[in-house]
Amino acid sequence: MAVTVQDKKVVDHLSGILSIVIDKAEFGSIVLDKEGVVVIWNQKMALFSAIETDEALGKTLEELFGSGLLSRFQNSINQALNLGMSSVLSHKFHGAVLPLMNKDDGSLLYTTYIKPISIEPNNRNCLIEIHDMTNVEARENRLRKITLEQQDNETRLRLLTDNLPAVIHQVRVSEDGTTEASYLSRGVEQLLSTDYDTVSDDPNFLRKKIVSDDVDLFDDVMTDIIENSVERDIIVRVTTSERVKKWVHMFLRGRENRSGQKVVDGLYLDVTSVKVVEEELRRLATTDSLTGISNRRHLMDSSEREFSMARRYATPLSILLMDIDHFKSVNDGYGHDAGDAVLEMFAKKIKSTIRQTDIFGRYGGEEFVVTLPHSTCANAMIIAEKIRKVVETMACGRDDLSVTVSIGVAEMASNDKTLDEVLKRADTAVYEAKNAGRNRVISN
Amino acid sequence: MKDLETLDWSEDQIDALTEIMNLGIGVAANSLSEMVGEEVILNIPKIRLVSRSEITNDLAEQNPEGMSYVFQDFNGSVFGRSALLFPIQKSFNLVKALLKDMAVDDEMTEMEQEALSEVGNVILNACIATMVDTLGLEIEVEIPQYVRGGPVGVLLAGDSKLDDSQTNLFCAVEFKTHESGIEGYVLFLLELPSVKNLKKSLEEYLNGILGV
Repeated sequence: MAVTVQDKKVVDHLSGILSIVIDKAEFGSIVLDKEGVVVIWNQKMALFSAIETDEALGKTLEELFGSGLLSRFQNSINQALNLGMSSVLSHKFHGAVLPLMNKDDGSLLYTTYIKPISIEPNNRNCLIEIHDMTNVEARENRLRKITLEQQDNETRLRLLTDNLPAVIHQVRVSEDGTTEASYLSRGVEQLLSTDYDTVSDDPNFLRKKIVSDDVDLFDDVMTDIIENSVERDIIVRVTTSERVKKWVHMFLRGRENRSGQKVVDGLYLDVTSVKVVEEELRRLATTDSLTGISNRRHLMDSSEREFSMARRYATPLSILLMDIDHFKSVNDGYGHDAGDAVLEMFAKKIKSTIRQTDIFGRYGGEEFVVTLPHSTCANAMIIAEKIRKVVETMACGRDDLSVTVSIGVAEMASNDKTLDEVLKRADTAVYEAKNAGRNRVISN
Repeated sequence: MKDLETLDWSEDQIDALTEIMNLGIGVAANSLSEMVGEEVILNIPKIRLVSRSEITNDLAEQNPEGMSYVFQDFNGSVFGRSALLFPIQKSFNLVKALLKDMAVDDEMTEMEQEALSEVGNVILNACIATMVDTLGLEIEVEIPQYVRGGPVGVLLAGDSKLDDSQTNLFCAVEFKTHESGIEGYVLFLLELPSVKNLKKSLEEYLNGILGV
């Protein structure tokens, strides 16, 4: 911006005004003449440099600050005076162009502007402005620090979540229903035996792994939590990439974030080991420890269930009650181990003779029961006879040992109120079979 | 283009202008080396005299996402606008290449404006100063302004001083930093009377050195 005025009086007047404006300026200002001599040194400059205006006027910058001024600063002044160039020296690059201080706390970061200025005609001067950037820089530093702290927190959170024996997952749901993954912890690698990068961007990676029987449940729950912003937990089976099935307990929560967007937070726990223990406990509670088939309680529970179904749908149901003949003499003559072996073998043989849907269990001692859904007495008799034959020829672990079985068959009658009534008739039939010479099938 | 052709630049004149720009870029490289404390090499592979529409179309086509640029206006016997332009993604690289260890990545974005303003200031001043010095021009140059990722058309449209119909010359200098291969452009935007003055000054300069 060139100020070129010809009239000497006007020039004097204008330079007077200019001096006042510069003197009161918010930034440090120096005006140098053609020879580099200070002609204006404002109040702010006096404050920054601790050199009073009177002291500075008429001297060169070298005389005031010594030689060895930054060459870019020196060049910029020369370019302004001789060639009319303007320059900016940022505080980001040039720590201190001049040794300046702030009166308050000493530190002063400043950007230096160097511009040509014409106060008198045909006489170019150089204006140097010192703009205090300490506050700006402090603010930037604070912002940078906050940013770093946030990154730090994020890192700490990651560290924490990545080492949890659980997977933390967050998905954003857009209004059109599309989903976008926003957070996934590293635990997913262990849960699904997968590579983190292959699933981290896919919001639906888990759904794809859920076994088909459980997908509907999962979808229903997701719809519910997204629509109603509620929390629910479900246990689903997933197939990992190793083709291993795992049980995953999912805690899912739907909510809206601060900007009103739907978010689903998920916490996934691998509960496979819990499920395995649970299964084992159930097995232990329902099986007979010696023969591995259902114990009396489980046998009765299952049979009762079938009895109710048969009554409701008016389908036939028959029961075989089996008692191993002369079992007491086996125990007495060959020892309890031999007796146990007979029971084990007996259970095994029968199991492979009956249908999968038939219920088979140990009723007590050497008594066993087979409940046959959808079977009339005639059908049951055929199966009973098959069993009797199998037992007759069954190897019992010793050449000198063989056993036979007496079987009572009873079919559910339309007026039977309880399973016990059927069992009682089967029991009577067994008693008859024993009396008739054992190793035979008698129906009620 | 028509005006440009009628100006009839000779090969000598273009060579001389290229030489001046090379000198200026050399000075700029020295200044930058001093600033960053290691050698910075800038090259000028070519200089082109083009019309505004031509360079506007060229740059807009090559940089549809806009460019970052630093510009300094100047006035005097030759007046117009000087500018240093980079493709947006390269401006960041340039700052990084020039500053190396001076800034950590976190600071890069905020350093970018400061850095490019200053880098632009150094390069443009050096080019203009060499031109002014060599050709004995009388001009004053204003302080640099920085625009991050703006449409090229806005910069090249100039301001009121540069009448659209009159403005018809760009001296486009493509430069590269040696190592990182960053390309940028130095543009001079001059209106017709200034172009004539520049050409006249070049003729005088050539006559002087060739002894014609």
